Amino acid sequence: MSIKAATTRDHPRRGSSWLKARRDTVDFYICVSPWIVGFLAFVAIPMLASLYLSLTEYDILRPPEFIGLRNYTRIFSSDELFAKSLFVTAYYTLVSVPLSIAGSLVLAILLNQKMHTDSLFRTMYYLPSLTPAVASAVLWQWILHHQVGLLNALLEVVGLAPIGWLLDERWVIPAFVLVSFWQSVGGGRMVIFLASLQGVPEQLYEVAQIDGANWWDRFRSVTIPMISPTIFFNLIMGIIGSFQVFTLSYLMTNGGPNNASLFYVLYIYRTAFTYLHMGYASALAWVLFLIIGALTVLQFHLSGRWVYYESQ
Amino acid sequence: MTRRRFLRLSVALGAGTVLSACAATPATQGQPPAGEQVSETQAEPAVAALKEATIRLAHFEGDLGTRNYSRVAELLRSRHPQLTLTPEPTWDEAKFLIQAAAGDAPDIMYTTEQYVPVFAAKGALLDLTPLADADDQFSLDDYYQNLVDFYSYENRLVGLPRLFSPYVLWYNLNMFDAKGLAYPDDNWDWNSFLEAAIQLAGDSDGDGQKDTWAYECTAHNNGWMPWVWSNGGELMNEDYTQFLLDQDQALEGLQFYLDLMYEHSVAPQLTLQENSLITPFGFSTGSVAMVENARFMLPLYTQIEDFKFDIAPVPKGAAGRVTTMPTGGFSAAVGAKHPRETWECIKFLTGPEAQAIYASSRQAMPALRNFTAVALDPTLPPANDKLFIEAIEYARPVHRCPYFREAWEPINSKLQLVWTGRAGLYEALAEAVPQANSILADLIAAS
Repeated sequence: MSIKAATTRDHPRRGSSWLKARRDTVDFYICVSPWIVGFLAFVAIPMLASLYLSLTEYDILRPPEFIGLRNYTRIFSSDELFAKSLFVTAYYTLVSVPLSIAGSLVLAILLNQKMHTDSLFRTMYYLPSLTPAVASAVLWQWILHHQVGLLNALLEVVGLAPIGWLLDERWVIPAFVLVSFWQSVGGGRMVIFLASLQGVPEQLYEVAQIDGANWWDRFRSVTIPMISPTIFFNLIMGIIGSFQVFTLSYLMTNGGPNNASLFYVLYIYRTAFTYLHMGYASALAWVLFLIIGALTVLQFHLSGRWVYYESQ
Repeated sequence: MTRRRFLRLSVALGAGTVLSACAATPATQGQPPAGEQVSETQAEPAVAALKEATIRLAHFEGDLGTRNYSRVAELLRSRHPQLTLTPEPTWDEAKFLIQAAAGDAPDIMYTTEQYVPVFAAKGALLDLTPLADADDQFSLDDYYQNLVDFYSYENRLVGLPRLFSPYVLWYNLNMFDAKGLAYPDDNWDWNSFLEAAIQLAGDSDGDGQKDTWAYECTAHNNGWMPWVWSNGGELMNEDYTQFLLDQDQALEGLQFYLDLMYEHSVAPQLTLQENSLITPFGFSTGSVAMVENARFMLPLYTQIEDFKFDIAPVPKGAAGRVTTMPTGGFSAAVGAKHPRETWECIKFLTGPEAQAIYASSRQAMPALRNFTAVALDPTLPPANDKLFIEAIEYARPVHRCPYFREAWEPINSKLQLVWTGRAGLYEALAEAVPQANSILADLIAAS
């Protein structure tokens, strides 16, 4: 066999299969181009623009004025509301996310029991997550009303004093935790848990039962490890979502009383659109991005200790 | 057609659709011809013909505003066929700012005496002085001078006033008659007000719960500033560089106002509704005898069946009688493409023909001197309607500080606790006012 013939056979570059591979590559980029364009136009370029604006003083009405890192310096040295809003958001996250995950898991376990009313209960639990934010805000403002609200009426029935849920600095975040629990416990998180539970092999439970494990042992030693990737996913998404709470706070209390419900994203909104400090708001947004990124990296780092992947 | 070819065609069509939707709109009518730049200070002779132009007007007045301004636009077109005024309802000034950032600000914006300094300080408003000076058919003397001052900034005219409405004391005639009390009058001071209020508040149905109230309080500074001023206190100093709400006279005035809710129980305590603190029982429910408010409420009150009311001057305090006066007017955006045509529209929007249209809603007093009395109708309530004109003598805006919204935040936050009885007034403002002054100083220094 000649070298040339061997070269042609061994190097597809010069053959029809090379043309096919190249055509496949071009087709791939054509098909994925809408996503690429969308990502560039609506994510990457705006993020870069925001990064630039975070280094400027910009009030919309006048061109941006470059000021270097002054915005970031101010965030970490003299902005009390930055610290306050971060504390409010972290407090809310620490309470609402574990509560919501635990609640969703309990509901999913209940729905995983084989009952003929599965669909009915699944629908009932899912409905609150479909309620629009404005409707939820109006509804819960009345439920949490300190004088005529349903919740305080229930407290009085059991002999407890009424609480100024949305008027008291100590109770406004627990009130928001309650609202978000109602909205999220039966929503997508529960559905994901249900799918995960249904993927746990029955043989594992049978083997555990044979070995004398009771329901708690089976839950702790079989269910939790097998659905730990799902718990991990919901934990990450839950933390990311809770750091971006805005709508309920804006609609129900507008950050009050005395900034006790001033969530971080609400503070960004107020800085940008009420006070017209677009540059500073962009800096706040980038700080939030870094915080969420750092928390996500930390969770991935810690996941090796408790998340079990069947394939490993 | 193969699957691959179908995919390629779909992506190409989709990309083409998206790109065509994102294409920039070519310059339409209203753009000056190339090479002819219209300067914001250009003053053409008043006798020159107006150019064909579409002028956009942004307003916050909802459906009523759109109806009124549409009628004004029709009238304007009959006088100046080349001018088309298009009203655009918007929700607040944030949308105006976003449009300005996108280079698409409306030509004219409805604004108030509190927002004129905010926009003017940032150079967002067109200087109307050269246009007004060059217009020999226009005279600022037609307007109330203090209102013209509200729409000026650093000796530049940046808007024209359309309306004003001093806060007055509205009172329920039936409730006063039921208690056999004399109606409020010009001699009322804080003592006479409180004496009447204590008698007006009570339990009308004997169930042990108070259900009639003497006064409607509000967390809005338009409502409680008269009590601060009338006691000799101030919100800010004259040049708006310092908050003075922690001074004794201001604190006394505010404490008197708070005592109406928490000490004397003659006013319902404020409650949270749709992220604002409001009273649970308003004057319009018929269970509250008095409220201080502007004429904006008149259309609502006149619609309520069997609701008899009148108005009186706000009670005199230790420092006399002072009340708040919100106003409304129009300003032009600095990027208005047709400054002279925009000026003609602003003049028309505040002129007598447009005022006749606004007068039908009876929501406020017109800013034109000669037209103000014409807007009154002695056959309709309130009987003392002329008080809205007389009160202009002792009425003032709450503030005209360009940095108010941001600097005010610490005080507003603490007052949220004070209004709901969860913090003491003196301690709250002793902490908040210095913080507010510090923010204000930083904003002024950075400007």
